[in-house]
Amino acid sequence: MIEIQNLSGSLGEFCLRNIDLTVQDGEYMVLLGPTGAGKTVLIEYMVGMYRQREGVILVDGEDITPLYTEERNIAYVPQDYALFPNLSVAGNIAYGLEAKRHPKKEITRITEEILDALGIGHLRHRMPLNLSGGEKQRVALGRALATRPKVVLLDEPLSALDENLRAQMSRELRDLQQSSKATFVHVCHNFEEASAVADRIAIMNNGFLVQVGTLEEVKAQPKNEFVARFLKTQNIFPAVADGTKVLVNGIQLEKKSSTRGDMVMAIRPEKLRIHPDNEAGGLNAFRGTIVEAIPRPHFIEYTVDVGLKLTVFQIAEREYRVGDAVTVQVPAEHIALVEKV
Amino acid sequence: MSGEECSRGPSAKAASPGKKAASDRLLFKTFFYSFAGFLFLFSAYLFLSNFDQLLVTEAAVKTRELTTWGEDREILNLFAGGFWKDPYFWKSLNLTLMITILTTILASLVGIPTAYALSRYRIPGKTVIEVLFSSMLVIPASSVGLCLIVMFNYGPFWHLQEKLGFRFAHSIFPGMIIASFVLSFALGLSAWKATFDSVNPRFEQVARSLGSSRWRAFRTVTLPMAKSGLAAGIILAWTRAMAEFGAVLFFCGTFRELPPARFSNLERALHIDQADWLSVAIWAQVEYGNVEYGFALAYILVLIGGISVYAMHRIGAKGYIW
Amino acid sequence: MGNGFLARGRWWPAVTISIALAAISFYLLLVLSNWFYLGLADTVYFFSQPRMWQRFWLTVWTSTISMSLSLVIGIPAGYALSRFSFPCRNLFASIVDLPIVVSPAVIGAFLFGITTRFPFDLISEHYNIYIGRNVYGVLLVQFTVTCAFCARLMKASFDMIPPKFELVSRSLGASNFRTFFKVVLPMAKNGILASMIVVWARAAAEWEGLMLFVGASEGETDIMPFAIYLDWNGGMMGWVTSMTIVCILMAVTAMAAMRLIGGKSSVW
Repeated sequence: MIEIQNLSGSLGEFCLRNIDLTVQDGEYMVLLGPTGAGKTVLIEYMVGMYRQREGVILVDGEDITPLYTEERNIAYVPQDYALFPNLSVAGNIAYGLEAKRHPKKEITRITEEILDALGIGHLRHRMPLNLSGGEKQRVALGRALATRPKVVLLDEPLSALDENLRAQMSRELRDLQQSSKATFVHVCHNFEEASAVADRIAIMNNGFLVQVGTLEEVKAQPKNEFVARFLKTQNIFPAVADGTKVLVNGIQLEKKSSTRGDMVMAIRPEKLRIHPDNEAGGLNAFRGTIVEAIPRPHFIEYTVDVGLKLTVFQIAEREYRVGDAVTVQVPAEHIALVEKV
Repeated sequence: MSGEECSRGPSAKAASPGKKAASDRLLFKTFFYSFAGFLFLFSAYLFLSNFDQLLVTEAAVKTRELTTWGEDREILNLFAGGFWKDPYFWKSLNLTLMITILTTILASLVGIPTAYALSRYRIPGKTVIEVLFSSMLVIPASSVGLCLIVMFNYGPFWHLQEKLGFRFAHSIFPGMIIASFVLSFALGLSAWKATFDSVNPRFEQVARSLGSSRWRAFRTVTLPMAKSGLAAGIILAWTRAMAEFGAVLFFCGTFRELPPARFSNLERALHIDQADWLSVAIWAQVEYGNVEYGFALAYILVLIGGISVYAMHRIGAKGYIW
Repeated sequence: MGNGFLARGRWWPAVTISIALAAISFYLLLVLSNWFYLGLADTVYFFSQPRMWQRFWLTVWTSTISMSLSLVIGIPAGYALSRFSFPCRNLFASIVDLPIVVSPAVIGAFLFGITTRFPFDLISEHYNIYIGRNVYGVLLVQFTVTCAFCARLMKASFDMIPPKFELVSRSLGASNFRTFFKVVLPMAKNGILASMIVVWARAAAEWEGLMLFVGASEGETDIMPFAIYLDWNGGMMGWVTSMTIVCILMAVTAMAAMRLIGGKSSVW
């Protein structure tokens, strides 16, 4: 278990302010945030490249701040993998074991195991310089996992790969984490990438840790407008809440919980439903016309004007055209009211 | 805040760094620092310990009884050879500064366009050209001086100077400028070319696609981006010109003992007649037995070199050194 | 031509390329002038003389020794300069750089002063090695000039390796020394080889310091650049030009080899 307590510090223009974060054993944690949020600084503190100004990092209840990088047993996979160009693939994987002076036989055994597990046995004697992006990543992961570290830190591991490979590699990352039962901390700035792999997501902005939770939690109840926008919630409107009533741009909605004050309403587009004009009614049903319909791979993205321009993702069971009159159903339990930023 | 930390206190047991890792770190740093420290101490010792050479010794006074006459002896027996009282020193300083500045200006005027052309345009045999220019920096200064002599006095340029009516070799203008130009240009060129190489040519292509001419694209886009690198190159070229010794000695020789008639009115008006290139003057004075005087001049050169290299480090001219 | 030529800025490439060509031809002429002067028959004659080769081998072995000494100091010192940060770094680096930026004549004069002092007088007393007007003096001059130079080049080579590699290596549990020898040094191999050649060439080109500090003794201290000066004073024009040709060939070969290995001119 890693506990980061009240961590502050700054490096150049990046800084971290009072970070508190707990990562459980065997958990896949994703640090998510825009460029300059301080994610990389945080893992540089964890790996021991720099010392933080304030706060502690506990691994299994022990403060590792005074330890040097080589004693921390935290493996680090940088953005472009930093495979040692002078060693072969097998040499790279065996590097950490040799450094820890394992017996020769064991080194060969573990290296073989890892090569097999990652399906890169045929690359054994190749040099890293002429490997493809996916192969490089596998080798880098193998090298990190060979020493059985307490934590594996991945700094934007997928950003150097192309689109198709990214989906495949993220699945592999997830499988690898589950089979090795290691704790992974993965830094990225892309919500889709994070949602593909994460057990829990920690969202950072501007040096602050904004929100931590599972994917469903943060999607359903974002902490503030920044999180809502960052998680690609398209329907974000300034709203006035009064008990269970929400007033947005002259339209009144009903919601489950009760709040008061000037806030921001966020509704995820996949939670909205479009019905034919004559069919539905009831709570939070609004009549409007379709302004735009964009076909996406798995759904159609509609923009419906009901006095507000609502974006709706709907699977194409029935197609609507631009100009059609429809009813939009807003489920009361999916209305999130969040703080303004 | 501190209360919070206190309440956390007992649960957080700090791991102590292993003895092995700490001593390994200490050994590692000591090992590498000691070599850098050796270099530093060697250099500092070399330059500081010779300070007592500036003091006049009994032996030097005695020797001078035999070799020097009258007022000269009085002056030379002062601390550091009394260099500040000697018009020869001031004329030499004047000469060296003037020529190095002229050389630097000339080298930049020729070198910056050359570096730009070598960096941007397709010129056949570029590798050969780069090898040629970079090898100028490891050709012995005596060879460079001799090449100049052979080129100007034994080659086609001999007839040219007969016609023009002045001499290239053994003259201040243009002899000294040529001699200090050769290496200063080659060094400046390497810095300027590296600077232009580091500026992406795409910026210029974009500027040209927006309708600006090639010259305007250079002046308004590349030049501002390359500014600090070019400045570092200019300082470098000047420092190299100041450090020039061999080529000047070979190509121009010494001027102190020459009759006043050898110097033109211009040279007399600029107060650079019967004066020497500073580093040549050091050699001449040390050979002559005026060690204090020679070392005083040497310390002045060290001071100038130190200031300019410090300036280069401050600007951050990385790796440009000969 | 004419209007469009000026207005559209086409004159700029034309001017830069012609300046470049002028500069290149000046330097080519400079380097080749000795061949034109000496002619083929004389070149062959002087090249077949044992005196020439004796001096050549003297140059080669002295500069090889001083290069090796410089490397021993320069590689770790360059790594320290590249990686560690400490207060007054610029000042420190400036003082380390001083022997290469001041005129070599100054170095010669200062070495002349230093060899009668503390460590050197002990060496000459205890080991009976007199450093001065002999080959030890030549080595000292070459070492002084190339040592800082070597550290500078090594710093440039190490600067090209991102510190990320060291971080990864240490995060895998490797000690600092292991990281240096297993990762940093192999990765810097090409840079080190290239710098080695440059340092060798620089040592073989040292003359000014010798002139002030060592002085001439035929066949013992007259490495090639120095011999050029001595023979020039002796008026032996044939020897002088033929030795200049050898020096130029050594320099050009060294730089071409450096380029072949993959050294960059930005190392300068």
